[in-house]
Amino acid sequence: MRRPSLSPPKRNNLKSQVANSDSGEEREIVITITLKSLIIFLVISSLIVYGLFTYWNTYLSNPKFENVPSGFTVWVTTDRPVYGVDELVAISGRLDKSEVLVQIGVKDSRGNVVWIDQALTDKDGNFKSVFRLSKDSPSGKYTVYATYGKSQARTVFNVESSSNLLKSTITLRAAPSTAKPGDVISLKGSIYPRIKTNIKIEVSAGNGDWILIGKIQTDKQGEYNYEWRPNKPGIYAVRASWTGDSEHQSANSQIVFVTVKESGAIILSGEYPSWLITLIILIIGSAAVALLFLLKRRFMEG
Amino acid sequence: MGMSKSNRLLDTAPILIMLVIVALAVTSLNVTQVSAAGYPMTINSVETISLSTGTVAINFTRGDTIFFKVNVSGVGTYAYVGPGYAYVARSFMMIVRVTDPQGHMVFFGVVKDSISQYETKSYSVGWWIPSGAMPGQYKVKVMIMDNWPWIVPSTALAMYYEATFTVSS
Repeated sequence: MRRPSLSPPKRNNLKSQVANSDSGEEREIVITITLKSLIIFLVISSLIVYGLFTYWNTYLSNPKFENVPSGFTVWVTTDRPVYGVDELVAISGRLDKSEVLVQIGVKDSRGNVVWIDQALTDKDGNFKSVFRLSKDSPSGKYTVYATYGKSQARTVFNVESSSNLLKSTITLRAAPSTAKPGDVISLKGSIYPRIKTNIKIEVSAGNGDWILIGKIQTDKQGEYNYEWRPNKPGIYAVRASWTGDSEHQSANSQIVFVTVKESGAIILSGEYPSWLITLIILIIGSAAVALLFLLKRRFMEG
Repeated sequence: MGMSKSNRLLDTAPILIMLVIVALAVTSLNVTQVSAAGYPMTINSVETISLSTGTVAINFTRGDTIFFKVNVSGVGTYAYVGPGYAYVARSFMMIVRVTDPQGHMVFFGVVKDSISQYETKSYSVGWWIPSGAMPGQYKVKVMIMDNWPWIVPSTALAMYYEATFTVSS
């Protein structure tokens, strides 16, 4: 009995071809899957799987399900870089997610727990936590931690025995607040009292420590203008600070945010949705499968 | 023969890749069931109890011992435990923090335990009010988390609960 001769695959989508034998007793079905049809099939099946997962998460499970938070960015700062004992410490920061609890902890230079808190972010993601240092706080460097899931930011302050100093403030504004890599960003501000002193400019890209990018001296009116040229895209928090003098307390400015991106680029910030991750995995997987099919076809043709 | 082996490899490789992708997708779906407020646990109540009377009180004097009785319940953690999904007991850490009228942290106690789905538990944490305690209104804040804030990852497992009590001289 002669086996039916099969024609080479044609580039039709899921084309069924019936090959009859001479006797008419044996039938063989050939299904040709082209690259295009394979991709369409994978995309449709991905959408179906995603739809089923969404339906399961949203409707079939009550209450809802939530993964361990990851992919967020958190920034944290204090109102001053240096404190005296028995003084109030105001911690503030921002997370790119609203109405969730940020874990806050403060440890002294010896590793003792000084403060522990949970702060609820507002609709803009801002949070704050205030506490008073004890009267017997040891001098030295204290570390503030702000953690949300797998994202953590830190800042440090010093505790010194000095107290009964006059308050001071420092302002900061950034222009422009959105720029391209390599552009100059003007960081301007003033210090009160209006004196000539040194200002530190620090930057945090989130989920880490503050990095000193420069120092500048204020003029006699207490004003300063620092030119910063960021090279890497990202969302940066910037703050200015001074350590105070014999009459005045130290001060940190409010943090201001600068977005650095290529024109037209989108900076992914906040939660990376699970569907996006799934889609990326499926695209990579589909591409790998398609490539193998392509290789096979070329191999067969060769 | 060599061609046959290559053919078989090319035939099975896509299927193996797809199986790996599906396996990755399934095993990475380790999720936590949360309450309507969005957390896997709930602090139902915090009571301030006097050791001397054994009853709930809000006014205390220096030298008293106060018990913070915390009632919590778990909604559950639904996780891939292989070969399928199941509800597992959730480990947690409960912090009871007390601040005086000026904002000093004067006490913090820690409880470590685990809780199952829909289970309710009560814990009592005691604090002896020092003889030199500042008179006025004190705040107690109860927080539940999976880890210390300085350790990554660290996540709140319940919305915190705050209560107040008064200390007089």
